[in-house]
Amino acid sequence: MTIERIAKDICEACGLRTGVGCPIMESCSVDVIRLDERGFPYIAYPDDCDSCFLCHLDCPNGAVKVSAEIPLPFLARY
Amino acid sequence: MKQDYEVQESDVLVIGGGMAALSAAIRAKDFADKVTLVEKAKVGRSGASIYCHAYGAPVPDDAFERRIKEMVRQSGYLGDQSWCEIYVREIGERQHDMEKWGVLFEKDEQGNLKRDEIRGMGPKFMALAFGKQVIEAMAQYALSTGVKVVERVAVTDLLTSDGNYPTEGHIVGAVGINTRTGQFVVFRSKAVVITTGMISGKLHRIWMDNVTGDGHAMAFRAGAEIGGMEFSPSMFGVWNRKFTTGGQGQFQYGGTKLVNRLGEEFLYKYEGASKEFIGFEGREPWGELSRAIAVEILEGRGPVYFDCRAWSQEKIDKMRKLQPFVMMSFDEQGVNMKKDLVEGTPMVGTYDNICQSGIRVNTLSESTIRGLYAAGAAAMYGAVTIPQGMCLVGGYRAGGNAAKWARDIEFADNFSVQARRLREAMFLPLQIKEGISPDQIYYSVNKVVTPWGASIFKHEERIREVLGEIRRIARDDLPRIKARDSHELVKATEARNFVLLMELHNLAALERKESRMTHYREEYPYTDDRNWLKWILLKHDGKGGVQLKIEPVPLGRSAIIPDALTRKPMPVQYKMRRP
Repeated sequence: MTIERIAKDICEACGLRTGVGCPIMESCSVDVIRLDERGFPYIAYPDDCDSCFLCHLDCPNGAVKVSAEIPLPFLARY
Repeated sequence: MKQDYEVQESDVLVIGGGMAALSAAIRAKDFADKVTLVEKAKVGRSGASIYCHAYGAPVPDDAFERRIKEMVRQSGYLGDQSWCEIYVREIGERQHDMEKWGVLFEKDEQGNLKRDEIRGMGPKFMALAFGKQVIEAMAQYALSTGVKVVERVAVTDLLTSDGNYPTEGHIVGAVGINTRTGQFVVFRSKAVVITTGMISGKLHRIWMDNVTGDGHAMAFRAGAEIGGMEFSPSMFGVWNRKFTTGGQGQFQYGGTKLVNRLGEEFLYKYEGASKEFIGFEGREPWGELSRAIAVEILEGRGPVYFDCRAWSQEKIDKMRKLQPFVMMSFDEQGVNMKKDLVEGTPMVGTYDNICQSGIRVNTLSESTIRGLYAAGAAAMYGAVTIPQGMCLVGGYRAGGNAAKWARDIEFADNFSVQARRLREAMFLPLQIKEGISPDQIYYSVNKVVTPWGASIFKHEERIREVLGEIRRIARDDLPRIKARDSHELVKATEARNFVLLMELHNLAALERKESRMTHYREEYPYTDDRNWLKWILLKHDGKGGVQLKIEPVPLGRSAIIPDALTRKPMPVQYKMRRP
């Protein structure tokens, strides 16, 4: 569901290496991503993800798996 | 959390980071030294703009009158006719500006702009470009002119010259919070432009969960008039009951068939259903469409499917090029448009009908409070048209005029008392241990506003029930809102805004005793052009309540009204049964 995984074996912790910032932490509009003590991104606020795919697009190494499927608690209430 | 606060100064402060914001900032820089643009997330990765592929094409002189008429008609005759005229006359120059700023439009082999048609607006009205490239190019250009871009700061309130809400003075800046560090930021500026986009209920629709109508709310608190709040876009882009995308308009074209469970193309049983596209001729097309789909489901003939199997390869290629995020979602879910029927369900998701509703502005893009300008989806032009086109034209005017206003005044001295008061109130949720989370507030509000009987088909009784619950949430729950960190603190301010905006939406819906476009009242299932060619404006009354003003739609030089001022029944009518 939504952002599913940041592959640790593919992630290169761009934020640390280039000093420019982790691209997926930069791009998330709902600010879901944070960096851990080692400088690797993790999904800090998974419930806020709205499956926009921008992190999947912006990671230069393709480390991010996103599912379009999303919780819809208010679907078709009548 | 830092205890001190940071003060940033500018001549013009632009709040937001999309098409209208960038257009305003770029233009403001033509006249002002210091222009700051402040975005809650990241410019080029936030809001609706990056997903838009439709832009305004230049309008030939001999088509001006016809285009103005079409725009007004499609706005349900509620469009501000001066703004429709401004759009038609200025979009050409603005489109050329966009090319100068580095935007790449779709061109044919001869290098001419590829023009597309948009439902009901006639051919050649629309130019095409890839939204992400558009915004990235404009952001780069803005930076190159010296616009200061501040990101990851959520602006939460405006600063007023007299320190009051509502103000009898003018706007002297704004305050906000860094979404990551939690630092309080004071923006001292001589003019403010609100370009914060629409209002999302955080229901995961069209990738706009972070666009929460903060501009509408802070302008309202400061005392500005807000209008058109009864209208909200109707949405059916919920696919297979599992995922949502934007770009639902694309599903109305290209040979799509809309069928119910029995395989019937049910839309054709309604008067006015178009043979050219999925929708209704010559009207705002989504409201009727969503209601028609809902009726099929309510009467047991659901699910409803979009049959896109007749789409040409050209259409699919175009979708991949201009709407890649839509296709990414479909691909990831394993849905193949050429083979699979796609179930569509209407579900409310955002409020403020793009350029139809928002902060009331005159043709300077000035709100009813001096020093405060608004543009884009956060402004009220009364007309939806091609949103990115109106955002561009309106933003440009807002930026230029805000900068001119800023030229003749000094910075306000007395902002710190108000800023401190705002900071204290803003950080309170961090101190509350046993309270209500912002997510719970959103849940409580959405629980009452999302049912079809509260959204797609409204009725006075049900609107009053909704208002009762929203007011209860405001009274009992909001004071107890808690936040664990700066991320949640930002959500707390968004939740507070959402409660206010849902009250405004329902107050306006209660007042409009007719049906028009996306607003449907069961008791008045007709459009009443004799009595309701009017705007419903809302304003903070200074006593914690809302003052309502009803004004005839300003007609301007064109004076375009419907041919007959009779009551016109809505094609799709329904009465929700009480459970």
